[in-house]
Amino acid sequence: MRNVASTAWAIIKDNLSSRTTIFFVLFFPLFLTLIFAFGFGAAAQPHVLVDVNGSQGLVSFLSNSSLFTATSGIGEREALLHNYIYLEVNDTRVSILYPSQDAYVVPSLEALVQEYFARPDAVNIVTKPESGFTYYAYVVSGMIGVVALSNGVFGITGVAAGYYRDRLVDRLAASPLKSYEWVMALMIYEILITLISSVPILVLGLAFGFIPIIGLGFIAFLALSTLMFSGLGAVIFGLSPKDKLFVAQTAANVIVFPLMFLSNAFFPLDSFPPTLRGLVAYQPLSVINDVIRDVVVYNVLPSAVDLIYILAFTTIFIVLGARLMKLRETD
Amino acid sequence: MQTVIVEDLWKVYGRRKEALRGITFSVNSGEIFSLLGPNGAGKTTTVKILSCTLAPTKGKVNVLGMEAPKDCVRIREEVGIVPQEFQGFSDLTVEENLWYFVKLYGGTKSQVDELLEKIGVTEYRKTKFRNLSGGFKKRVAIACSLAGDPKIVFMDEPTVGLDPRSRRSVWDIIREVRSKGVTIFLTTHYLDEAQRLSDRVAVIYEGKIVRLSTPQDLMSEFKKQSLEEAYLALMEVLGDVS
Repeated sequence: MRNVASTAWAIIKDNLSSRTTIFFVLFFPLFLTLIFAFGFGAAAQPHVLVDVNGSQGLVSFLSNSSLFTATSGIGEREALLHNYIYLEVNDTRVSILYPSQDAYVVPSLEALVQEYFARPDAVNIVTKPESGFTYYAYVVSGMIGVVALSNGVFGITGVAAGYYRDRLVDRLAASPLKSYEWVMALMIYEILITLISSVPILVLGLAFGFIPIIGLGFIAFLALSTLMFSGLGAVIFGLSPKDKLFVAQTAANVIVFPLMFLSNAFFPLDSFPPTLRGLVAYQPLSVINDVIRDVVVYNVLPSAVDLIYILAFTTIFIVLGARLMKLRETD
Repeated sequence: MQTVIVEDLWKVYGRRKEALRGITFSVNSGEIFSLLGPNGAGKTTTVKILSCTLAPTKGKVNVLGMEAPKDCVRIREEVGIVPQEFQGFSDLTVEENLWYFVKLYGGTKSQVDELLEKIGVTEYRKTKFRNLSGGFKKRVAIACSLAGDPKIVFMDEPTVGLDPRSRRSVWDIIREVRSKGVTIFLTTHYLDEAQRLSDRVAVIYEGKIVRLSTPQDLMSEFKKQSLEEAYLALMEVLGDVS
C-alpha cells in the first residue's frame, strides 16, 4: 500500500499539468451537460407527467386529454423525486403538488380535473408548489452521475492506455510497484477528477436556479460512485489485449453510452418504453442518480437498498478490476 | 560468483510462437554481459523474463540467488532496468520522476541529488521529462534504474536512436556504474558498442543461443578485426544452415 499515494500523486500531477486534460476535466462535462441534457433533454419543454393516486378513471381522462401523460401508483415521494406532478384524490378533495417550473400548466390541470368530476364545485382542489425540484435540478444532478460514469470508465481505460503506449507501464512493471497499487492510484486520480469536473456543472446549475445541497455525504457518495465505475473501467482494460489498446476504448464506448442514455440521467423513467423500464431503473447509473438526487436535490437519506446495491457492485468491480488489470504477466 | 543463471529457458507466446527455445547461459558478478542478435531473436523477451515482467514457459531462471517467477517480488526490489523505450511521467520534472522511482525502491530524498549528480542531469532537474532530448531521457532512465542501489541492471538497447555523442556519454555512465561493482546485462544492435563495453557476449538467433564467448574469441573464431564483422560472418553461417 505504501506506493499508492506516491503513484496517485505522480498520475495527478502528470495529467493535471496538461492543458488537454484540463479541457476534458473542466469544460467537456460542461459541454456535455449543455448539449445532451439541455438540448436533447428538452429543458425548455414542459413536463406534463402526472401521477394520480385515488382515481383510475382520472388517469385515463388526463391521458386522453393529450395535454398530460398520467400514471398511477408511483407514490408522492417517488413522483416528486422524478419531477412528476402529483395528484391525490380523496373523496371530494384533490391535492395537486407540482414542481414550481410547472406552475403554468396547473390551471389547465385544475380545469381538466373539474371537468372530470362534471361539476365545477364537485371537488375542492388544493394546489401546492414544491420548491427546488426543477427540471434543471433533475438534469444537473443526473449529469453528476454521468460524470462519475464517464470519468470512471473512460478515465481508467484512457489514462492506462496512454501509459501503456508511452511504455511507462513497462518500467513500472519492472519496479516493486504492485498491480493493485497501480489500479488504486489510478482510481484515486479519477475520484479527484470527478470532484473537479462536478464543480462547473454545479455552477451551471446555480445559473439556472438550482441550489445543490453539498455536504460530506455528497462528496463521499461521488467518490464511491467513481470508484464503482473505475472498477468497471479496470475490468474492461484488464480484459482487453494490450497489443490492441483500441479494443479497451471501443469496449468502454460500447458500455458507457448505453448506460448513459438508457438511464434516468436526462429523462424520467416513464419516458422510456415499458419494456425497457426495468433495465433503466436498475442499471448502475440510474441507481447512482437516484442516490445523488436524494442527497443533493431532495436532502433525504438514500434508500438502504440503493446503497447496498452500489456497495456490492463497487466491491465486485474493484476486486475484479484489481485482479484483471495486471502490471505484468508474473502477477 | 554468478548473478544470473538461466537453464533451458523457453518462452512460447500463444500456442505456437516460440520466442525462446531452451536457452542456457550465466552472467558473472560485476561483468558487462551483452546479448546480441537480430530483431525478433528473443533479446527483449529474455530481459523481460529476467526482470520479472514476463513469466517463462519452461526452464530455470535464477537472479541474485532467487528463483523467477517464484521470488519475483524480491527480485524486482533488487534489480534495475532500462527498458528499450523508457518514458517517465511526461509532465513531471526530471527530479520528480526520479523521486518517484526512488520512493518505489524505499529510498530517501538525498538519493535523488546523488543520482542527478552521478548521471549528470543536475542542471535539468526542473525540466519536464517531455522536454528532454533523447540522450537526456536515456540518462534519466539509467538514473531511475539505479534508484534502488541494484546489484544488476538490465539495459535493453540503451543507446538506440541516440546521436554518437550521446551514445558515448551513455557508455561512460555504463562503465562508471560497472566500476561500482554493479553487473550490467546489455542487449544491443550496435556491435561496436558491444565490443567496447562487454566482457562477454552471447548471440541469440531464432530463440537459441548460438555463441557465448568474449568479443575477442568471437573475432578470432571468424578471423575478423571487429565484432561487427565476426557477427555478420556468424549470421551468414546461420543463414546457410537455415
